Amino acid sequence: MREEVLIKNLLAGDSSAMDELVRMYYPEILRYCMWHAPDAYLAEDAAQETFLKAIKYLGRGRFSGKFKSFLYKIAVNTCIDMHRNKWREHVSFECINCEMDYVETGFEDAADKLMIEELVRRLEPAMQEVAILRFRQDLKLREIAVIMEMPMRTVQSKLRQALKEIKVELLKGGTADGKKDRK
Amino acid sequence: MEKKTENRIRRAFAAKEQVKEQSVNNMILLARTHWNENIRKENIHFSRFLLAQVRYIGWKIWIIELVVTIIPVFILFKFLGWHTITQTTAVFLLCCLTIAISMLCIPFIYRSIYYQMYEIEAATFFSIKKLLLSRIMILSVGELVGIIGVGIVMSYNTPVDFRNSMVCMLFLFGAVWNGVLRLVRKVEMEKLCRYFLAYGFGLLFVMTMLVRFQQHAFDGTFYTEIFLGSCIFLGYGVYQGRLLARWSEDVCCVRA
Repeated sequence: MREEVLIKNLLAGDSSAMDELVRMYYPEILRYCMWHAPDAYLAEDAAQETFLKAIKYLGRGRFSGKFKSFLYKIAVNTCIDMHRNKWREHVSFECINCEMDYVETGFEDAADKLMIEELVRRLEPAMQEVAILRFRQDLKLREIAVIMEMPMRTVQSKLRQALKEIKVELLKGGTADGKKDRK
Repeated sequence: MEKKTENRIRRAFAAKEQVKEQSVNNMILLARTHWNENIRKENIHFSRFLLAQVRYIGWKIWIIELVVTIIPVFILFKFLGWHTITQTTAVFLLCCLTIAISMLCIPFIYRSIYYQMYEIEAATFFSIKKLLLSRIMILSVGELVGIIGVGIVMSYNTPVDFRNSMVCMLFLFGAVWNGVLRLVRKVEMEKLCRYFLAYGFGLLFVMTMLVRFQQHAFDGTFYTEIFLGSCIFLGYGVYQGRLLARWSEDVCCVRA
């Protein structure tokens, strides 16, 4: 795997391997932090702190398994820590000009996206986390199991529960495939 | 049906935020600087680290251990008198002191986990479990010295058999600290204090029941068995300590 080669090179002294590792994973981790953080600046803080922690542990040989899962583990816990300490009281004065660019896909899709996001946010924390890692971050179930430190069956069960709850809420408001129930 | 829901959720999350190139470049610069600073730091051997922990534990903990070990015992003897101390009472007292002093570690461990150890873990080569192991080792040695001191004074002033008292005390000492090491190995850091408290109170309860219903356990009748038990605990304690010391340095992170 590319990341194994990069880490090997990095530990051997090739610091340019660091650039590639950051380019590979920073956008993904930043997007993950965007979900949890009140605004883009704090998300960037969280993503940077995640990488800096990962670098520290990497430098001291305290890393095993896949680097991606390792990064996500740190990101999950960094967001939890920050939520506990810094983000709770935060009032966002985020500049509109500084917003990240979205790819616009139409009003109905945007409304659907907001509704789905709201439903996901209403899930119980562990289910929400599994749903985000699966559908937003496109991670495999095995990777999610490693990150969340849960057995695979638990991840599958949480995902099923999450889908069930979201489906129930969607059916209350319309049909499961997005079409309004015209009666 | 659930497949439709899944697809709908995926479509909703399909629009990904575009990450600015500047942000990535900033991260690369930061990462490089941090990496260069990080890898130059030296790693020290565990034994040197262990000795350094003596200073970091702090004089207050040692004073508290001394106070809890010695003063109540002598106040008790001053009011009850040495003549009231029998073999059973002496052993029971030493064993309860062993448990009580080891439970003193609980606020220390709790404080360490909650405030200090994650920062130390990030700043040093050693994992939180190794840090905890080093502090447990130092505190248990301090406790052993204190209890043996009390045992010596007790046997000097009373007809209590020092050898039998020490063997019983060592047996319980082994039970307490092996239990602690096992909990450190198996239990999540955040739950450690609760489990440790439960274990300590459980042992105190067992001791009380033994004094009430099986006083022969303390009078030297089972000296050989208790001595063998102490040796087994010592061996198992060394085994657990080596396991913890050699453990891969997993990152222990805070749970929600």
